[in-house]
Amino acid sequence: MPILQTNRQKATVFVIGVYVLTIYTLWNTFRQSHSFLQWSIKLNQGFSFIIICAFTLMNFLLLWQGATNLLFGELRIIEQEHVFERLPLIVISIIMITSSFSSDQIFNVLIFSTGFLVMQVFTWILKDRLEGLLQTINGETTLTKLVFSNFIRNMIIFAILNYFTTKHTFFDTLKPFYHDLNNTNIALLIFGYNFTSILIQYLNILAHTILNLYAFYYTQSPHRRNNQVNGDDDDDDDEEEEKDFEGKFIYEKCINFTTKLLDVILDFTLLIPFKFKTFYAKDLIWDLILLIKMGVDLFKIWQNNKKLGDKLPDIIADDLIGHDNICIVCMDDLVDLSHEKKHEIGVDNDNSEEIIYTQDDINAMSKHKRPKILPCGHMLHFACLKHWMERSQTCPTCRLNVFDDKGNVKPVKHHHPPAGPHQPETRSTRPTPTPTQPQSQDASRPVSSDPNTFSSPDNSTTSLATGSDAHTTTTSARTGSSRAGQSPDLMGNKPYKPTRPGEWGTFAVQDQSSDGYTMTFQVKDGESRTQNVELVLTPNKDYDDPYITINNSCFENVEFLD
Amino acid sequence: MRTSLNVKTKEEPNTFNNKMSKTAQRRLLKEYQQLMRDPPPGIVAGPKDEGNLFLWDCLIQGPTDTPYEGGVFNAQLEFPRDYPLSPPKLTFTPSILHPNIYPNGEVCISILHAPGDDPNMYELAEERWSPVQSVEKILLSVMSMLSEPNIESGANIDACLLWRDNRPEFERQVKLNILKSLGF
Repeated sequence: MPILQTNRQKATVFVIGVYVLTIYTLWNTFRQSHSFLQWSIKLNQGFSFIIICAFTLMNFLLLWQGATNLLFGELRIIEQEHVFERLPLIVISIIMITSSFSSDQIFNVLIFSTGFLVMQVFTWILKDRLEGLLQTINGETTLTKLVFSNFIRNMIIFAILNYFTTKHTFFDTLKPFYHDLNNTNIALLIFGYNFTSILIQYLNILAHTILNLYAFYYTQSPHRRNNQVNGDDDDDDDEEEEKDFEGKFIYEKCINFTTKLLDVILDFTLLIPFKFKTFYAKDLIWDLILLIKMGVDLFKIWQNNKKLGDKLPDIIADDLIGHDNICIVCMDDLVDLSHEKKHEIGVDNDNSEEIIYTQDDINAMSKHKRPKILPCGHMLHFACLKHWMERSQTCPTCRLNVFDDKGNVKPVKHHHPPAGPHQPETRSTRPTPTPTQPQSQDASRPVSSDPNTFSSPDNSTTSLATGSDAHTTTTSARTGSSRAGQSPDLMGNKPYKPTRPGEWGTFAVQDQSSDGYTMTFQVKDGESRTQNVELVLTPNKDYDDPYITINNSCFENVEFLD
Repeated sequence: MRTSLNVKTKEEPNTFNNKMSKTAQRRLLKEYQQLMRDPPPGIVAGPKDEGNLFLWDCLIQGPTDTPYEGGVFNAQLEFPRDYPLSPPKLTFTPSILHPNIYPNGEVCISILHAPGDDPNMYELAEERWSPVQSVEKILLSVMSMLSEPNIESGANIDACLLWRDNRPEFERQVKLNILKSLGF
């Protein structure tokens, strides 16, 4: 119909239609029946029943929509998505529950399942809303504004609702039945269980809210503000920054862990009255697996981060040769000269690349800021690294795991070459001229932006460096593309062929002669011309690993010639 | 076509908001300076207002040889307080028709998703946010997203279907929107 343009208009017409039909049905059946009983029976037959059902369902949806609007306003897209993703599962589980009850429980079950459904959906939205609230924090936000927000109002409403549902289902209704199980109370028991699980979810959100509010309060607290106003010296600021609420991510993980633990306990308590029937054990097993996984992860992160400072080596001055001296997290200089020294040499920040940093410069830095080197050779400020490691246990540049499964860090050897250093060199047979620059002594460690570069036909630049640690040689490539290279774990030193651009591969070294290891690659460039690239690696004395690692981000395909 | 945005080039805002994270501010300032010094082709970006470095305005030029060619799209970047540890949010204002852009303009690309949470396991950890990304890289990613939509993880279902089943109509609508946005 051309009149009904929008969904809203269609909905309005439908609602009016259903109301008119319902009233007509009520009136019609009322006229034809002599008693209330007859009327009720008539209403539950044939078309009347369908219309009554439609009427109830529609009103339920309208009420729900109204309540959502009242509590949350318009839903964000992510919230809608979450609801629609999870709704089917909940509906299925409700149907499963209801199917196991006797029919005289129908009203109880209907009311409980409706209540459960609504509460569950609203709890999801509430959780997403917390994220939304945190995203809105900006310069003008004050703690009072946050505390008196709609979100907190909703939290209070839900606290009350949760209190009543849990109290009603679990304590009032269940207590007398707990010793005497029959079909009647199983319904209530399972719904009690479900409502309690909602309560646990609510507690989780509550804990997150308190944590975040506290973190916000912490960053706003007067001592910090004063410090920022007064702090004109760089180092002092950074030490202060270190005290910024740093453990938040760990605390959040702890909260989630505790929530899961409560879930497991809840699952377990449900098993007791059911005498450990397998059907009800599935939740327990599932939650238990998740709990153990979370626990192990949490423990690992906690352990790893605790010893982060000790396990990871500080950089040495030689590491900086050929490095652009930028910490990719804060984009500040990796090694910062003290003010006096800066003045002494008379440099400003613009030409800092030309400065040669000495070990003293590094040692002069505060412990929080002193750069660390990761097993993959990337360097970051300790403070920056620490903040990142709370979120992810991988190198931010190449995403190689920092710790292995046992919580150890693969050593990055500080290699001090002997007097007559072996000069690692790179040769490509044809056709690209290889600007083999004089290799600095300390390229004996995988450093991505090493000056020793050669250009491949498709104009992307590959930087090459040979190394002496367990991974020996890392060839990392930089492309102009924005995606960071992807790197499966290389810890198992097995030959691994990359299948797509950006992936890392491990290649066996073929030829071992006195003057080095020789490898030949077939490289396809942008126009699919195949080139052979021979690579000769001059080993260090302690080099005994037969594999080298290549990143083929800039090559379309790297094939190993047998 | 090089577009230029009238950005004030005063580099050190006098009044930083004290309450905001200092690392984030410094890094954003650095990125801004970098973008001013060496702007990538087809991209202009800068803070909306000097007092608040956490909200940027960006202009992105539609990549050539795509339906978006000739268009200049306005987008807004919202940075979290713990940037660069958490990703910013990118929203096109007004929204544009694209499989990976929500009808409200929010951009859905994997590098803008935080590393920790993977509620749906749609994407690998490697594809998500890392501090090595920057404003420039995000905007370049968005440009490549404009030229190569990924309908596997679509944000705008209508656009996905249109792009897959009726490409000429999709291109026509995009062109129409561009003309409209340019004032024709």
